[in-house]
Amino acid sequence: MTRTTFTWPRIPLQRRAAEPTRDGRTGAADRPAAPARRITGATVFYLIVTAVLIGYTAMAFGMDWRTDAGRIGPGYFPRILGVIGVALAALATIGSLRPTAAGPGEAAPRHPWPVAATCAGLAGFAAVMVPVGAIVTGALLLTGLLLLVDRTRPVRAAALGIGFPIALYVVFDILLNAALPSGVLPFL
Amino acid sequence: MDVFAHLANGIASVLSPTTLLFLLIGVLVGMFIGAIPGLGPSAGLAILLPLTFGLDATTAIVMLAAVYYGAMYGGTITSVLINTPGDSASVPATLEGYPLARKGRAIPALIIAAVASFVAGTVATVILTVAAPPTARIASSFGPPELFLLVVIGLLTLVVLVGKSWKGGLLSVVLGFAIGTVGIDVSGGEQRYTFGSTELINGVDFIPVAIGLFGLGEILWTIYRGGHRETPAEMDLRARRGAFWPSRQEWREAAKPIARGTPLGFLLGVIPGAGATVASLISYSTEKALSKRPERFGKGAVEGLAGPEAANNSAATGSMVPLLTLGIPGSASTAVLLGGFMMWGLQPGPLLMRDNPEFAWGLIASMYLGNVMLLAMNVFCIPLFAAVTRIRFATLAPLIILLCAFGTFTVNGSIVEVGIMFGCGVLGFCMRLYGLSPAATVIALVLGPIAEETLRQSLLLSGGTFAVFVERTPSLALLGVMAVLVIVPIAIPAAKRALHRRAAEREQEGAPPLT
Repeated sequence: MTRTTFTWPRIPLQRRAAEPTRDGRTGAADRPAAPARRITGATVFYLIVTAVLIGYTAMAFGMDWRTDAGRIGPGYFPRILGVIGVALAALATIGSLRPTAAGPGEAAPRHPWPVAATCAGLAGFAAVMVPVGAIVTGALLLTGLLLLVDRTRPVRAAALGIGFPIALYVVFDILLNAALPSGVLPFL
Repeated sequence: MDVFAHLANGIASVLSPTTLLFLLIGVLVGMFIGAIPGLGPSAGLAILLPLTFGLDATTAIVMLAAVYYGAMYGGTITSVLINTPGDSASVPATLEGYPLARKGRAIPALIIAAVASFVAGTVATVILTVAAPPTARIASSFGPPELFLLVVIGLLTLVVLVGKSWKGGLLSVVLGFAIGTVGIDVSGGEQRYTFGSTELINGVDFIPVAIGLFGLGEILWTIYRGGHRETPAEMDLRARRGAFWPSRQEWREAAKPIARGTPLGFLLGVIPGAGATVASLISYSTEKALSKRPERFGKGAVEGLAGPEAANNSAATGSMVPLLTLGIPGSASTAVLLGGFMMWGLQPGPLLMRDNPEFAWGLIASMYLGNVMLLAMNVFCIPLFAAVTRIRFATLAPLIILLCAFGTFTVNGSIVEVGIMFGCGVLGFCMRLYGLSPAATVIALVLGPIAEETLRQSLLLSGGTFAVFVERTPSLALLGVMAVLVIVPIAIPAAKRALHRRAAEREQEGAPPLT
């Protein structure tokens, strides 16, 4: 049986590990002395963190520093945190622009698509869990995730995908008396 | 002999069949979690927290504590057998345990590690038993300024230990603090960062954040690294057919490192922010430095296995001291345990031992029993755990993700919290990817509200002046500790650089090098 191989497309801004050239060199050693700065995944992440912290700080400045009675106001702590946080996040953003500033895991990315697909599945799960119910959404999510990480065993994925959410439902809802939404299954 | 009377009551309270059963379940699950690479004690605790609903507070915390120190034992199994540390504290076990396994000494290595863990865990529990009540008494004399400074010291230790990327550590702490400011401001009743959501009025619950950052974040990170494509390595248990017990020579080599690692680990465990990993690595360096044959290290030196194992288990128990007596978590795992305490309405701190003696002493007593159970299981059930760790990550990961989702929902029946958990999972993944510290964020989330409240109280006491932090002797002592924490990491590298420079200058001048 011939096996077809599929290469996932590269995510924009994803840092690639240094690849050897035809003559066996990695290319890193052949770089010019002052390589150009470039935007990486780390830059995007730190930019988002900076933006969130700027918003946090702006809201903090809308709160009182001191109360009328002279006590610490609700904005006291958030303002200090916000200013420090924005400064640190901005520094991290600048640092991430340096060509050598790859994070510990960033230098050798391997499987970004399964992570992205898992996140999409989780977002869908959170959106429909209450109306559809824990067992049905749990079964769909679990089967999907099992197939995502291992497509060679669909029967086992289906069996686990149905059996495990039911078992968890029994443990939480019946044994621990911690309610889970029944959703579209009327007999629960 | 007040301590022994309390301890006897504690033992009596955990000797019920239910508590013993959950203690056994806790150590088993803990060992299992510790043995899974990529799922450390803090992630395991966070994921299991919702499963303790329906149990009474003592049984639940006894089980969670057993998971904690069970995971410390379990992390060693994969380190020795497949050269993969279950958690970062087990790295030295990989360096020395795996070479021993390759020499056909896998089972003796695991027994030495188990005995080292047992001795250290038990001695540390004895020290905890004796030290906790006086520490709690001293802590009860602390006012808000001292408690604030203690929190700052904990966070400072966290940041300092991150080392060169201290800015990343500090940013992680700030993120945790910022999440902690969501909700009603306790002094004035004003809502902060709730965006009109009633679900956020009481703040962001600790459990979804911990499950997200540790549980889901770790799983996403492991998938990203390709853990789902890996097949478990073959375990080398050949020695089972040969020698089972360590030789007399190996026991002799292990004895002194265990004796040194135990107090070292306990002391480092007590310091908020240090913890088991630091204890384990320092113990390894110490043993290598003290060894007469350091060239054996990295090739299967028993000292390098026994010392760090003793140190990391002792540190796990030591970190219970600040948790039980000050209400300050010393590590990410104890931060999750603190979340568990709060879930049952218990407030760890100086008054816990006075107001809830059955609970506090029951927990301490359970640690003696748990250590005995763990020793027995480690010695006689090694093949069982070796078999369990053959389960593929590709199978486990989706199951754990669903457990995280259902568990988070059941805490407060809130889908918003499930969303927060997923958000924190993605954040935790990105933090791991870009070198930030999810553990620092979780600890800061717990300590942030305490810091804000104690700072507010301190300034209220002093009429708004910061002089309150230098007026009392305990505050001054704590400020001294803070100064040391700030100065030492700056001074030591500077001194080293100066020495190197001087040595280089002398070399250039043709003078003999400095010794």
